[in-house]
Amino acid sequence: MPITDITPGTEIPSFVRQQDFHAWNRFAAVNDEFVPIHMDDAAGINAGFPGAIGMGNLSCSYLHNALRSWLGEQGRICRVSVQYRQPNNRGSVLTTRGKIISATHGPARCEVQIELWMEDDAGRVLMNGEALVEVTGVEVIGLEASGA
Amino acid sequence: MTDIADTADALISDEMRAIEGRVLRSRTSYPISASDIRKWAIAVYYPEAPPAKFIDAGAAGGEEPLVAPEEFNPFSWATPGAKPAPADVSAGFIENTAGITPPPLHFMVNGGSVFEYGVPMREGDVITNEYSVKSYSVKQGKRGPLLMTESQDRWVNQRGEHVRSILMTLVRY
Repeated sequence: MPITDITPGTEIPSFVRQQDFHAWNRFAAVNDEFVPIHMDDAAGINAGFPGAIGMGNLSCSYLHNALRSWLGEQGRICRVSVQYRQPNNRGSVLTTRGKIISATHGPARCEVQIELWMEDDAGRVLMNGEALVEVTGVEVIGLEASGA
Repeated sequence: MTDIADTADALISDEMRAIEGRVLRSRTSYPISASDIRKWAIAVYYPEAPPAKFIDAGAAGGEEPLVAPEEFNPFSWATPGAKPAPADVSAGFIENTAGITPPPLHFMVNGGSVFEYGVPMREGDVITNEYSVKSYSVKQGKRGPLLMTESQDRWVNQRGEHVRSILMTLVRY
């Protein structure tokens, strides 16, 4: 779907993933991230958590996935900042969400600032951050021409 | 002297202070393969299939080179000239890399990161990084003192083009 709405306040489509060892082990395998707290409930409990916890790096990928899904082939990610507030627990469902903060129109592209956050199915905000993306494409130029 | 200053002195040794701002490690990746990109994408989109652009035939299949997801790691598992070894996942991995004594802390979590992206990583690219510690500091947490370590990782490709910079805060306790 081409991007047609870059109005501040508009939410981008969310990205949802269940958290369990199936997902974490796959990520550990590609990132060589075999850290005990991500693999073993006892190690997580020993570190002060309810059990094994998910990787911050994988959660960060989910934020990027949400941005990529929204951008499609119409732009690129320039900058992403994330702060990890709480760990994500095994069995939880993570939802990555984003909301447009501002959009600055240029001659053939638009710089868009997006607020990002990740929440679990208990309503806890686990991560928040911001992204700067560059949006290009005829629809954006059309928006600029129409003064949006 | 305040308690937190005492704690900082106990956790941040002189030799740790001495590595602030120094490049601790530089690595050069193997050429990024289409298979590396596909596997990364499959893992981060699991259980759904990743977008087709990450799992297409790529250059090896006579098509355009695959472009990696922005956060792709080309250094995992092995780099040229380095003997493959289990990654150091201890809370002292930074100081171990620098060849100095780590602080007496056993746990770590990722506190946050800032990623700045330049040109994309493509199939066939060779990436070189320079990893350094920017600073150490101590904060008081709910359960005790937290050692905050800010690190910087700068990546360029084989043409010297900026690929990615990562400013990361590691929290140890």
